[in-house]
Amino acid sequence: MSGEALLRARLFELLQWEQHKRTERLLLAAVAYSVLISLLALAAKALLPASVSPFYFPPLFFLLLAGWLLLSGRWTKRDSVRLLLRLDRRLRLAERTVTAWEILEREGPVLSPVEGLSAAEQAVVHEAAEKLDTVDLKVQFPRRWSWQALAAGPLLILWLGLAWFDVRLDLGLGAKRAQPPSVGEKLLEFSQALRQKAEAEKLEESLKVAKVLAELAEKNLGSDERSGEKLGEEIAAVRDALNAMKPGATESETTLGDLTREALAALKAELDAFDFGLRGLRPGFTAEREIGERLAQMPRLSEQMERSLRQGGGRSAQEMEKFLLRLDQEIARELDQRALDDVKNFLALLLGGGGEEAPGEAMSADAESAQGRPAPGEKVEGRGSLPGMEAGEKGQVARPPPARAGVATHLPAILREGESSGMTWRGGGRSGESKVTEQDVAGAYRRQAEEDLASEKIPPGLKETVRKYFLSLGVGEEKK
Amino acid sequence: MGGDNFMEALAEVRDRMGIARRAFEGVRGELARVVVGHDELIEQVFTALVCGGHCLLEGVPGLGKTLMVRSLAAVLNLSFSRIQFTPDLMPADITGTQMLTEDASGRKIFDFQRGPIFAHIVLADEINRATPKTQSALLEAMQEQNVTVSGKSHRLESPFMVLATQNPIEMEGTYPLPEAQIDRFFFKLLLKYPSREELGRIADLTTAAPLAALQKVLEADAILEIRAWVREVPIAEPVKDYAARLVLATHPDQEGRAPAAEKYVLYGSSPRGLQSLILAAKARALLAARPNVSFEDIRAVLPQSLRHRIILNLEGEAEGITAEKVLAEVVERVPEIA
Repeated sequence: MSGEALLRARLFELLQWEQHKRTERLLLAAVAYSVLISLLALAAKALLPASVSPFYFPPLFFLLLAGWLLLSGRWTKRDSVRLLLRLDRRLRLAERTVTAWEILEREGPVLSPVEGLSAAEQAVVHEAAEKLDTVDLKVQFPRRWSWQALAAGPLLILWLGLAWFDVRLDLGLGAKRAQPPSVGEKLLEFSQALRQKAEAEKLEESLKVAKVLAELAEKNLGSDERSGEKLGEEIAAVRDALNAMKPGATESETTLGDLTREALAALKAELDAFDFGLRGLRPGFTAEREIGERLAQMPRLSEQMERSLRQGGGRSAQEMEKFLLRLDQEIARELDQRALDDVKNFLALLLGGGGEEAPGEAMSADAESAQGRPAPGEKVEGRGSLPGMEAGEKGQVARPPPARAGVATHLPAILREGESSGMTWRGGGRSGESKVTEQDVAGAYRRQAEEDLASEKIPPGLKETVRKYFLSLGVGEEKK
Repeated sequence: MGGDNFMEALAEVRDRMGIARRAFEGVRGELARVVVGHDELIEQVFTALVCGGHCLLEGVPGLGKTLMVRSLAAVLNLSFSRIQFTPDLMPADITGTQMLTEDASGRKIFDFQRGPIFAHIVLADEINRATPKTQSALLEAMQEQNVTVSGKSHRLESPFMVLATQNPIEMEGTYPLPEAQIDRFFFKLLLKYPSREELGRIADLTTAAPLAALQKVLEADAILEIRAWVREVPIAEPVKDYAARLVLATHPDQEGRAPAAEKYVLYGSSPRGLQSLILAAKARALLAARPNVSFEDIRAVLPQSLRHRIILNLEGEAEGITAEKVLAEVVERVPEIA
């Protein structure tokens, strides 16, 4: 092999080796950086749609990074020159190799015959070839592992572990969300829920209390520890005031106090439906038979009515109207009272440091327990099974785990004969977090109602009421 | 191209390098008999000679400037003339003049009488003592190796080399060389004061019996041949680029300038500086029997190539900054690979 061919072969070998090393280094760097970014992405996972799997992150980032790195770090003539200068320096060749390479490059592409070189140029080429002939170039430029290459493996393993076990890193992206809400925030949230409920059910006392609580909460939002103590005192004062309130007169022919919240709501619905139907029959008020038929389809209302008759109530239209009006007021008062009981319980929880539970859940669950509701696991009509005792823990009330927004929570089942009561549900979103519009919700409920109307789930006497209700919602939407 | 051709070319180049090296060693050996302690200077003068350049030698009186030039002319077997520059020296005293003479038939004619410039080696002694008008008489000769008198050009013989001397301390009654004149010198060489040992040897040489005459070791043709070889020495693009960046770094207003250049330099090196730098580096490589130019060659010839091409500003003059200091910082600041 001539000196020129030998030099070309050796330089080609060296350039190939270095290009190979660079590609390796860039790909390993892409792996390391993509895994690092994926680790950061795990922290931001909560901000991403649930359908996005974290296992897509590394390949995606790798493809993007590798493309960019390989493009920006592609081998150029300048890199070849730098490499040969390094070789010259390492072998103390006084820039002979780079000069020879330029001479060969000037004459044509690699491995093509060289013509027209001056004697001096041929001498440079020959001397460079002589020097490189005995040198192992791979030894001169060994493969060196960068920190990215060394870190790529461990980082990948770490990421796989975290992703597999669904560990969420919190690097501050969701810091505010991850922090438990302050007492002020809980109070504000509770007051808003209470206000909505009071306005919907026309609960006067509850509405007043909701306003007081909202003012109190807004005054103390973002307050420090010291003012937090003051807030506690103010909450205690409200609670004491509520405790001092006497329950409204409940001496009546009704037994509303014995009814569950659901039964009370059903009674209220029947009453509204009956009242609505009654208005339709008012001209003449002669359709006593039809009223009887309607009452037959409203078991709770007819029970209350029969109780009233047993206690001496009349059947005249005037007396019936009075009875219905009184029943309506009593239901409202009872609901109002129960809402106030919820408030009391919630305030007690706040003062007692039971801050881990969401206010909305405390409002429902604790209020029920305070009202002496059915024991855990007891079948309640229209309510479904409650989470109850763990296996082997008879008599102990297992409190439901606190539900958190967007987080799946498992409720343990009760080992008992009958229907399985284990269930998994997601906690309700906090205020301001919901991404579902009111129209969507109303639409979904309306569609469900339409399906139910076609079935036997809704009593025939109530079907018209339900239909008109959802029609009225539709009108409201159009107005909006 | 076959391996035989390669081997022939290699042998030829090695011969050339051997010839050039031997020529240099011969000149240095002969000069060392009479010139003491200026080895580096001798090498630089020889480099300028084989590059076709001129040298400005600067040193205090008595350091052997004139002796060295005379001795160089003696060992090179070249014609030599010496011009002692004085304030009343006229250009025609250098270049020559038209004289009214009679030809063989008795007819009066103007005949060009050649001046001392017509020699291979010209010593322009104390060049800064002549007026700028007279100094400029050298311009054409140095740049184009040509003299024009009365509208007629006269070619100077090759090799042609001007070796000018000047005294840096006696400035009274002198005319500093104009920049255009200075730029035409390939090298500016500084003569250092001899060491104790060198002084002893000088005393021995000059106070003992006279030496035998110097031998002529190099012919004009050989010098011209070496000049051609010098120009054939390959230089890689990165090395050339390095030289260009060094030159640019001496300018106060160029990108990549050295801080000292920015602060103390009024004008940086001219493009002639780059030519000088690369050519001298080629000669250095050849004399070192290397087939190509290296970064080190460029750095080695940088001071003598550029020091006279850098003009310091007032601040630099006031602070006693020298061109060498600026160049040292330039070398320090400019990386080999951009």
